[in-house]
Amino acid sequence: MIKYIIKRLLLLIPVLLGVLIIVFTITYLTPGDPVVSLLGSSYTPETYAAKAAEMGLDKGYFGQLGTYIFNIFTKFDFGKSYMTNNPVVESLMARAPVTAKIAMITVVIALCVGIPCGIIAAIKQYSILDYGFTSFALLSSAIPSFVLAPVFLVIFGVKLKWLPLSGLTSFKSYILPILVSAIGGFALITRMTRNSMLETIRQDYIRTARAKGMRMNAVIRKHALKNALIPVITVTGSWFAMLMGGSLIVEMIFTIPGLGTYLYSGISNRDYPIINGSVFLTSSIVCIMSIVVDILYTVVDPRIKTQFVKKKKTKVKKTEGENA
Amino acid sequence: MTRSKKKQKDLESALMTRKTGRMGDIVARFFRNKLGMLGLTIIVVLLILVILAPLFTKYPYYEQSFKDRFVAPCWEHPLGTDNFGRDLWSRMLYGGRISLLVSVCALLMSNIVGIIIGAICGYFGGIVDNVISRVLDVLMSIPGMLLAIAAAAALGTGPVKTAIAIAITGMPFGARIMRSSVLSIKGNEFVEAARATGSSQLRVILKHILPNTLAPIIVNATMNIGSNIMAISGLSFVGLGVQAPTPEWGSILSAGREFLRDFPPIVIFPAVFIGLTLFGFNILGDALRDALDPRLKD
Repeated sequence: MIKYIIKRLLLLIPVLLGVLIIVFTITYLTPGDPVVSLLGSSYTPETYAAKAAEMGLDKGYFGQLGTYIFNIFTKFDFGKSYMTNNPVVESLMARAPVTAKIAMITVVIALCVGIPCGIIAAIKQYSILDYGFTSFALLSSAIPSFVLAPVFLVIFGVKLKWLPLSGLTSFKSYILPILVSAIGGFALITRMTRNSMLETIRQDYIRTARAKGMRMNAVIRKHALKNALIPVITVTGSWFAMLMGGSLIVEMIFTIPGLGTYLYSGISNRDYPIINGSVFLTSSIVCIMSIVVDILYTVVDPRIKTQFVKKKKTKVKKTEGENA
Repeated sequence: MTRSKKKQKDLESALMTRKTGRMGDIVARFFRNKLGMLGLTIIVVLLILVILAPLFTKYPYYEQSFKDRFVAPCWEHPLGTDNFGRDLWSRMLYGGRISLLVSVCALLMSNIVGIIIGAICGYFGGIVDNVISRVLDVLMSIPGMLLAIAAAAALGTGPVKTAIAIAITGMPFGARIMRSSVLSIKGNEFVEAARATGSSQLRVILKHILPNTLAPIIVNATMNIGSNIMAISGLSFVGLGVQAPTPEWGSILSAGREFLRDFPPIVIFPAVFIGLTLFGFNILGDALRDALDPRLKD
């Protein structure tokens, strides 16, 4: 198992290198000259050249890309922000925990509410509860977060004055952003749980357990739940990754100093190191999450673990046979 | 007598269903799905309203009138007016044209490119497949919204560029689906037979493999129209999509955000239109998937 994890981590390196190259190329092709926008209208060719050299923009595409990647691999240096001159790594480290905290609480809440709702909807299929949860899930997945967020702000912040409008000053200011993101995830998780639960409770072993005289609750808890959870883990993993990167709009609306607002400041100021750094960071989180999800599979369903082991064994045998 | 008649009838009906074939089964299953029909209705009504917008609107979407600012919904202005006194109903319908058109264009671009790349990967395999698949892996590991934002920042604003930015994000998924369905089909005997009878590789791909891979592609496409609209609106909302004078649901919504406090309709109605479209395409996609793959449904 550990071997497998190490192998997956090593395979990450080329993927992340690819991400770096693609993002760098995209920002490189972005029209507009960051040197000009920094210096303003009053610059001479000499000051321009000096500034460009200082920012490392005097080289060609491959030169810039080479130094960028070289600095990352040798010094873990993602460059400095053009505007503030702060190292990008420091800002990312300061902001990532904020986004991560919100994303984690959101995921936990959505799971705690979504899984039970999905199970109930599946067990009592075609009941009022089922229709209630399913239609709520369908409706809420059709409302984008950039609609929900301002509407909640007006209702709870402006009209009722219960919750603060922006910033992160007290625990109260976490409520709205988390609520907005959690509603979308709740819809996703409820639908997923319901579908896979419906599939699972029609299996033969569930019927066997019922026939033995086990109570339905116990059957669900002991036999069905773990088997039904696999697809839920998959969507939750990708959704968490999406929250880490895609909560940009929610962060903008609630002015949360997280990764999303940082990336946005990078885009609006043509601050390319910021864009590259934050996209790279969120992509790494996505990749690591997919490994975590695969590991979680083996925890929930030990059969998958034996699959890994088996694969390895047959491979070993094959290579031995070839050597012989 | 009656029994033999009944038997004959059964036989006939069996023959009839055979006659209607797989396509008939799919259509019948689809029309039985009530939720799917609701989705289809929503989308058809929306499309009629949006395409025939001039017939349903009294005011041009750009006509400003300062004395009619922030009019609440009434007979004259069914959805009220915005901060420039422009009729919101007209802006919704004309904005829908842009939203839907950009979404469909992005969809076509991403799927055509995706199908070509996926077919090449799946059919030829080997080193070509390996290299392209790694590139797709890289593209897919960048969160969709971020890639769209970065691409939109590089390309600039405007309907065509927004469509391209969104197509780039959607392409790897189309290619992935196409690749796996080609892989599962190309081992079949009929493909081998086609090759044995001397069909060119292009002909094998276009005539024999492509028609058999269409089901997952169509389902994915239907679901994507909705998510594309969400992405376009999101981009417009951040200021990287369709720009202000052109009406588009997302840009109307983000422009109206500052007036939400005093005049909610300016945000509520674009939201309702975006939501309805998403809802319609989502349940239509679900119904299509159930109709095309009956195993998935109880």
